[in-house]
Amino acid sequence: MRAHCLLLLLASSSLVACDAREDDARETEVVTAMTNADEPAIRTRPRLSAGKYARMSSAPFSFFRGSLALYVSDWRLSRFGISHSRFGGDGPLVPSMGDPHFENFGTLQAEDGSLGLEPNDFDAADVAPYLWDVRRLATSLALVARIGNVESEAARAETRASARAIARSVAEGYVDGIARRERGEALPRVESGEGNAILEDLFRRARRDAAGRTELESFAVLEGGAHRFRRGVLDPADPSQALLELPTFARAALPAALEAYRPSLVVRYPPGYFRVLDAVREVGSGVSSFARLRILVLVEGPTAAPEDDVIVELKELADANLGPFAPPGVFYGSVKERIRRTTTTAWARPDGDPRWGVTSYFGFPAQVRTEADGQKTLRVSRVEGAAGTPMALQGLGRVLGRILARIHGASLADAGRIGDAFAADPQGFADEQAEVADAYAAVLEADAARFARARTRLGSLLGMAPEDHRSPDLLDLLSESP
Amino acid sequence: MIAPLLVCAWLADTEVGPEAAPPPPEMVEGAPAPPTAAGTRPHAIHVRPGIEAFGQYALRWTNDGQDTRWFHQFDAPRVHASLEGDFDNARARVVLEGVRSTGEGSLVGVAGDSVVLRLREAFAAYRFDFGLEGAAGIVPTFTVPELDGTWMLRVVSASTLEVSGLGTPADLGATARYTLPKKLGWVGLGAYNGEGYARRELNRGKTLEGAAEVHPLATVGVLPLAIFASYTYGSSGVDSARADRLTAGVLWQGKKLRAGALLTYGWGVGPDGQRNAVVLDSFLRVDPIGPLVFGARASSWLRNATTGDSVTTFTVSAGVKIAAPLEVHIIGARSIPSSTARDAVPGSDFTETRLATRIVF
Repeated sequence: MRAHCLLLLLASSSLVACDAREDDARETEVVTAMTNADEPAIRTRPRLSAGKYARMSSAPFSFFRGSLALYVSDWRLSRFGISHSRFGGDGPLVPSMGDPHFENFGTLQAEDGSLGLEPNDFDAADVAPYLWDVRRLATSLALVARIGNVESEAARAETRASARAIARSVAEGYVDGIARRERGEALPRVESGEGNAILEDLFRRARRDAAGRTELESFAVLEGGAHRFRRGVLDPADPSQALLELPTFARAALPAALEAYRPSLVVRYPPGYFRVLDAVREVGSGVSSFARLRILVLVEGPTAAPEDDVIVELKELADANLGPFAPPGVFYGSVKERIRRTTTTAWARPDGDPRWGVTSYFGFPAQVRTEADGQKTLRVSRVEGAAGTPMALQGLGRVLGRILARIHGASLADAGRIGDAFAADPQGFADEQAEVADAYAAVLEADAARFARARTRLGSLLGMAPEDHRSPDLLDLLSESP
Repeated sequence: MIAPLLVCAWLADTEVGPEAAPPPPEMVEGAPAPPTAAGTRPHAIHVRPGIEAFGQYALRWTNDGQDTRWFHQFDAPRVHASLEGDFDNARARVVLEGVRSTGEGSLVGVAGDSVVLRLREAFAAYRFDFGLEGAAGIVPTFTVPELDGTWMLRVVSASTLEVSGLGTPADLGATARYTLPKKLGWVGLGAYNGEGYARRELNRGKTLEGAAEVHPLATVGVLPLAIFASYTYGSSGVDSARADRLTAGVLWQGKKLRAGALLTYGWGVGPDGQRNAVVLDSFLRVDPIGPLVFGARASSWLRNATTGDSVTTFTVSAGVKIAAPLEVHIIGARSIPSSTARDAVPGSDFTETRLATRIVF
């Protein structure tokens, strides 16, 4: 009898022994890093998470945008030398964008109507080692060099061959910017293309659409003298993006959320400015934050006239998920404080986007910002022709590197500490960053293919199952209802 | 997983003779059973509560290569509340532990970042008279508890195996442990989900752990000397990243002196199934006279066995037993990372001093 018991236990153990383990260890690593970071979202909002992964599988740069968690994992494990440096990978710790990359910069329109090139995504902003941002940004430029110029193979071959030099330009701009900050110089706001083809294209389109207020036409219709959001898919070429009806209870909570947001702004708007005219749930926007709640809100603006109506976007916020970079591991008191403080530090002027603030919405920390066609983001898809030359990308790299230096060097003490890290060999610093970023961009380009392959193999949620019991209200709010 | 245990228990039950105690009333005629039977049965009187709690003040200086920053905080690194019951050969244990509701670096938690309770252990066990005990539920694993249990100074530091993430003290699964006769030690076999007790299962593969502690000189009166070895064949994550571990070492489990020197080789680290890691861990506890307790630990965690990327930690402590359940320790620790580890894990180069209390009921 006793022997039977032992045999039974042993047999059952062997029956549950491990599955065959995958041969492509890097593919497994990519999947594991992503699912470890995304598990809460996958469990509670599977449809949106599946949308995020579908978007990440669509193009290498979309994969890059959605895979910050992989960068975190690679940094922690010292993969591909990404976190190691002769110039102090562990510090100094600085106010960090968290996820600086090519498509997280764009034009913002200040209160006086002027446009400036600024960072426009602070979801991952936190405190981190200065190299964290430098390498993330340089890698993104190297990746753009590898995959841009979709229409021209010859042009793409040329930029691919220059990927290292393009990555180096970020470090050069950064070194220059830090040196200027050490001397106490202000790094001015970039308000024009400055002869760079990529920036000229960006500012030209931004000025055109800012002047025309084209967002009111893109997102809304004028009916009976009042604007109302369109509903459904706006662009048939991209059916994943749509504006959906907002549940009544969600709409009813907006005035209080906007009233709570108003004091977080650097510009004092009267309460009537944010009177809600209409609101819709926005799905299919972004990559990394694809699964987060986004609501477009049409508000009154300066007057009751429909011409000056304003659209703002309310977006759920979450943790930066970079750290911890001790001590003490947490550098802000709340997510809202993290966003509010990093935006005002990062921009050349505090009202970079005067309507960029924070609030709470059903307990979620949330960010509210202007949604306007004049606020254009740099896009890889625009890296073509004159905007797709190595020279244009190198010029842009230097500009973005300087903007990053402005953020990191907001405090002269920080600028001094960073400058000390590479003062002995600034050229060597630039060379090192170029080498690491170029090599890592090549890994990420291959990782994008691995990710797409894993998604095919494991399914739209990468093998993870959604939660069985989810709040019906939450499902409605997130447009996850069946 | 539980089925074999139940079958064993049923088979064992058939061996119980007529002299065994009559079963408690389980079926109530003419009335529904309570929604949960916990606490409603006569043998509930055999349940005992327990507490183990650490409180500490920690002052840490962190070096980032250019600057040294300091930070200090009060903390409660361990709060355990347990309930344990046994009746006949059946045993159950539930351990609640207090943890921060978020990970470090996070701001989104439960009611701010409250300390919340979660289950650390929750299992049913049955012990056969011939020395075999089977358990199922959230069960202690074999290796990490062996290291902590030998040193008996968990308040001073966790085992490097646990700190490195290469081992977990508990998991969801089932274990069988056979106690060798003549105090020669024990052998154990466990099957777990493999994700640790704080996460749910993510893949179809299960993690198997085999372990043995042998006291080779027990028969000649040298009971404290032990040789310990364990092997874990595991996987983690949705794509079954490799997570195999081999641990082996020598232990001394005396009343005045407790010590150990162990080596763990890990195949697969976190998401990187191809990376190998090594942990060298040695520790010493001395209870020289009266209420005094001294501890020391030296460990080296090679985060990448092929590149020498490592973190070496030295810890010393001096403590006093103020009352039977209460100890106070003063602790000093120095963590020295290699340059690669320092860059990858900013904050790993630190010096720390702590004043910690431990109370156990």
